[in-house]
Amino acid sequence: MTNLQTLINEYILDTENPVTNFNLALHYHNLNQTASAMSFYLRTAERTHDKLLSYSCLLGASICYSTQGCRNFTVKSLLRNALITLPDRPEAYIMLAQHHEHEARKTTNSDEAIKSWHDCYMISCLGERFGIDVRQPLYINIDIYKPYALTFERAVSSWWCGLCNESKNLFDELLKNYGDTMDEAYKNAVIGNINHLNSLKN
Amino acid sequence: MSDINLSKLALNNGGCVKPLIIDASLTNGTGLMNPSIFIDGDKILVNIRHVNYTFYHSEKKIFQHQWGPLTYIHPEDDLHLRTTNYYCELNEDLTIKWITKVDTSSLDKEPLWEFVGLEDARIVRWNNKLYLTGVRRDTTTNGQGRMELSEIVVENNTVKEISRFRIPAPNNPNSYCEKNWMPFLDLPYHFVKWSNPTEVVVADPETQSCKTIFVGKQFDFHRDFRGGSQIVSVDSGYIALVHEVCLFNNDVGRKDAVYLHRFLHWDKKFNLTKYSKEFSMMGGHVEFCVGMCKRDSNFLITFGFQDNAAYVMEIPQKTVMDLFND
Repeated sequence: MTNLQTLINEYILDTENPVTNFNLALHYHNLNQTASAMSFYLRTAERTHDKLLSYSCLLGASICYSTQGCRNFTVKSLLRNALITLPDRPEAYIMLAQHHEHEARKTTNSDEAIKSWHDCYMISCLGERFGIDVRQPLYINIDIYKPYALTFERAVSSWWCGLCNESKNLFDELLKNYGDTMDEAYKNAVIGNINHLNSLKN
Repeated sequence: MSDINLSKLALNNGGCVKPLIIDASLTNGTGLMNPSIFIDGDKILVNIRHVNYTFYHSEKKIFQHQWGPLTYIHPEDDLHLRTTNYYCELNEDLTIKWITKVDTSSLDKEPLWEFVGLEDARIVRWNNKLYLTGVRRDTTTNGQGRMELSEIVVENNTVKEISRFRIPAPNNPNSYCEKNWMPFLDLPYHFVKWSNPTEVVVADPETQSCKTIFVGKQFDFHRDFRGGSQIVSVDSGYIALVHEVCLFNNDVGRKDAVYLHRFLHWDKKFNLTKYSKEFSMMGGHVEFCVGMCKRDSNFLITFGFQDNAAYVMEIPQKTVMDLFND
């Protein structure tokens, strides 16, 4: 709390400074005070000239709403704003593709599910093509970026979009190129999908 | 926006601003707002409003939501705007000593409208009874708002609402929404219902009635003064912190707003005598104050920031009085 007090005082003495706003956002986020964090993330994003800081804050704000649950329009709205801010970064594509995947799996409406799978496929394709700049680290500490994350999302969504060969080829490529280095959860999912697709073939 | 930031004034004059936080495991991290403060003997009491939404305000209009620059983000499967109240006691240094949710269960009824719960509750003690007084809009199907007096009892670190009086609107029983009446800390059941012209009303829980006892002269001013904190006695009369709303639409017709704040001063006969310079509470475009009381030579003032964070400020009385125009 003492540190929070210091950050509040610094903010009060310079309320239009993106740094004082951002420090407060991060601290509130660490306390899981996601509403308070969101306010200061958004204020930072709108006051800084540093596009990477702005982008990082929009991702942070989307995580705040995602954590609260059942605020999908807002999560996507913030991620779209992040994409517009830095379309050459991969994180917003990954988060948006994952969000569409979760929506597709969650809904009981088959039309909505198909739309979400197509959105997931489109975003992963765009992200693979354009979201390639990871030279600078983000200003927030999120474990989102993996070099194979967007290919994985495309592999998953392409099957639901009827592109079954593309899906199988992508899973095979993922295992071949990243099998030794990818996170366990991803690896298990890739192998599971390959086995499943092979079983369908037989 | 105003150039004057009251929190900065407080800090620069030996005061302080402290956060009021409720553990996120109790709130799901959504908005904490519009706290009220009251000194009850040797105890500092605060009521914090918790809502099920997280306010989104694109102040610079750069990253607007798809629903506009200003919107209330509640769960997509629950269109209700729900309020619960948390009662807490503060330590001398204005940190939270203990906190508990106000138990309203014995008086709650099935809500009939989207806004659920007692909103912007101010704490008062009148005739030795502790009350929360705010607006409730869930008792009719059209969201009619009425100020209510909820008596609460504090026992063994629990707080229970034991009675609820829905104050009828004086003069016009069909008025749509009565809210933000400012209770006098030192005059039981007296409220400033409207500041300009000042209208003072007295509620009577015994007879379940309310009547106007004073209507003052209209002050020539370009915006409405809206409540507001409790009304605090000072040597020369009464003082309260009020807000003004600048409501407007953006270029594509979506609603937006900026809130400004002032202190008002009344004499002992309820005549509005002066108003202060306008200020922001802490630099935000949407802030709201429903709490104010005296501690020694200072004022304690509680406020919400963007409906998403709650704070308590201590500021010298002299610093506040210096804000009044000549």
